Amino acid sequence: MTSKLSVDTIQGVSQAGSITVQGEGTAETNLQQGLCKAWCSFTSVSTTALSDSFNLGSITDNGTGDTSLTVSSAFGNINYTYAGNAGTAQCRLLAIIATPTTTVIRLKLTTSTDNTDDDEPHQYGNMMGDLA
Amino acid sequence: MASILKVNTLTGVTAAGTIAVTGEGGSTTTNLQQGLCKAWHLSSDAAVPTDSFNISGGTDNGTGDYSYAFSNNMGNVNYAPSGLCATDDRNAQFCRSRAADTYRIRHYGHDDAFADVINSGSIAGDLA
Repeated sequence: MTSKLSVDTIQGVSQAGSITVQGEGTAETNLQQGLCKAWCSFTSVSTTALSDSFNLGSITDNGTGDTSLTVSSAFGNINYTYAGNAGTAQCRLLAIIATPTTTVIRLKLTTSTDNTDDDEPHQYGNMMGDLA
Repeated sequence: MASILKVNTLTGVTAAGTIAVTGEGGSTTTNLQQGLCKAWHLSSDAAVPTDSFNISGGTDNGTGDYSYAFSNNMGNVNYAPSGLCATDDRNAQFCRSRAADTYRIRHYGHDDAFADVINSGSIAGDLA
């Protein structure tokens, strides 16, 4: 029997922010913990700007290769992750600089061969962690 | 009171592709569809997926140059790929280009030379 649930909001019963989901095999996982809380696609060449994003309120150009991302809905703590990459034709290294806050993370992009700061037209990232 | 909801398909009421989910802290909501990973893969150094989700196949375009096709296409090219390569050397992976039905990644060693490596990726963004 197929079933389809139409709903606008999902919330846990025992805990509002915790819903268990049966995994592909025998184990269970957690719906909220498994969701990406923010993602972005942006350029830092000329005018730094988002081309598409989720839960990103703004992007700031701090200088060459130096970009801050601000989320709209804050994280519950600073222990979230950012996984991303950038480049067009050469290897680039991406790092988190400065201590993140619950709303802002600052990234630095450098070239791998001479460690100079660099702007790139295609940069991507996603953020995982606990929302406030 | 514990409760179990058994269902095969979820869809929004107001908008079919939008369902809010209460966040971990209980004070804000996130979006189910926006938060789901739309595709992922772990692949060999010849672009053969070892395991994957929503990936129909890989193409080896040359040394350190791989393309992966989606089973269900993305809605636009502005999605966000991320991933790493598996190697003992200092290599880096980045997305070279994006289309709605495929994305292409490149791998470089620390000397800026192309390198064949085991690679992985995940895709965040809007489905078609």
